[in-house]
Amino acid sequence: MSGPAVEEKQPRIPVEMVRRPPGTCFPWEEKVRELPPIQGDEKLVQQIWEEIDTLAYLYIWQCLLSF
Amino acid sequence: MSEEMEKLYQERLARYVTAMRNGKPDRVPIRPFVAEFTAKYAGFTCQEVTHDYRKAFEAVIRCARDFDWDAVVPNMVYVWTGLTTAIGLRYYAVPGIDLPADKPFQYLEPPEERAFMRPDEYDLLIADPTGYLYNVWLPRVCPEVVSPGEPNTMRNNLSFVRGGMAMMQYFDAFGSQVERLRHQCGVVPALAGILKAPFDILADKLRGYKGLCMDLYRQPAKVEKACEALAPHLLKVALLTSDPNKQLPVGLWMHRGCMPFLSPQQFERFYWPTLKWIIEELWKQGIQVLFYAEGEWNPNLKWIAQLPEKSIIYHVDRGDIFEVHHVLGEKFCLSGGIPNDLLALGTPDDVKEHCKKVIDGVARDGGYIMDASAIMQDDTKIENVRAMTEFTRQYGVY
Repeated sequence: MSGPAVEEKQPRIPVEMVRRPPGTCFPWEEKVRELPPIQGDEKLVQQIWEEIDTLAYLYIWQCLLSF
Repeated sequence: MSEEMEKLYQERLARYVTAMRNGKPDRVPIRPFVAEFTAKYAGFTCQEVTHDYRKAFEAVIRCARDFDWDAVVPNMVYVWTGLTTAIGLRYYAVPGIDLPADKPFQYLEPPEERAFMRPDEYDLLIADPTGYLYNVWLPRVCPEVVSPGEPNTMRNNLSFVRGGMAMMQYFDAFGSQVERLRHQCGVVPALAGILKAPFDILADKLRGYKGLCMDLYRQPAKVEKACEALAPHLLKVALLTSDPNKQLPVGLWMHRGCMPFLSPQQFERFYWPTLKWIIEELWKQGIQVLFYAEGEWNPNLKWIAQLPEKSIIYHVDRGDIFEVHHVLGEKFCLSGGIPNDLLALGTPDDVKEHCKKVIDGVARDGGYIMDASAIMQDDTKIENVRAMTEFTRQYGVY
């Protein structure tokens, strides 16, 4: 089928210069700089951040691949 | 679950896995790729199974209960248009909205000048694929999503909340569906996980096929670099979504790699290197790929033969399955090869005759799984699927 008639969208593109390895949207190394000094178990905070960040990664890549 | 059902499940799992490893099981496994066929069988419209995944799941269960199949995809009408509508994805024609309720969903490719990725954006994609998708691609394919720097809107926020929660709900529901298939039907899920070739992603969702064809001549090095930039991400998604037990293959759905979309020379240069790398990396981790060779792929068999033994299950669509068996049969399990036009227009006797020819020609030493050539939609006759199933059960015994 031919394409949809759509309103043109020309996004301004302030692509952040963040290195995003596969599986990552916002790396822990960047996130930890925004947090106050971690008083408890830093590994736990990192692990949970990375697990949830991976969901955001899967969201956009699943939009691309599956939907 | 009854002991009898679990025994049936284990028998079917062993049969399916043995064949996929190119071995000889007790009989030829049957794993039909049935999409809108399930709706026809269960009495649903295309709109119902596409827009309400619960009905799609129910349709698969009804088929799995009634046909003696070893494995089936838990939902082959995979694009849940409830989700795509909720987030405003603009590249689908949805049954019941854009199309009559009895027509399967369609993918809409935009005109070349409105491709979702512009020809001068390769460097952005190559530098940061995930950032490009969120910042550039998503606002273009979802009108409700605003670009970075634009004023935010409630509709933008809602798109992410709806999309994230709906996607979670949908994928979680697959877990229950797999359990239902096992406990109620004794049937194995045919696949786990998703993979696409980097070149196909560029063609399908970014540059469009026509735009990409121009790029092959105008900026070929950028196309190669873009495939290389996408490949580690496509590998990562395949790994994250694959079967943790490493028994089921990741589904690889290929669109533009075959003749006549690409010449063999273009295939060798642009399509194959990154896809080969992904498949080899998956196989290093023991994960097989269901290599769904949609269209005519026989001119590319010499490259596919380079893959490690057993790393793929090669699904035959329009290629000559006997030639495929001659070239690849020693290394890989094959599936498919029963023409869809025969299943839609032929008689049960025609179907049985063709199944016999295929079983005699390619399945004698194992390493074959019975299926249609391409995914079965609602034009497939129920009596012909029954004939394919019953004949294979009777004749396909080792």
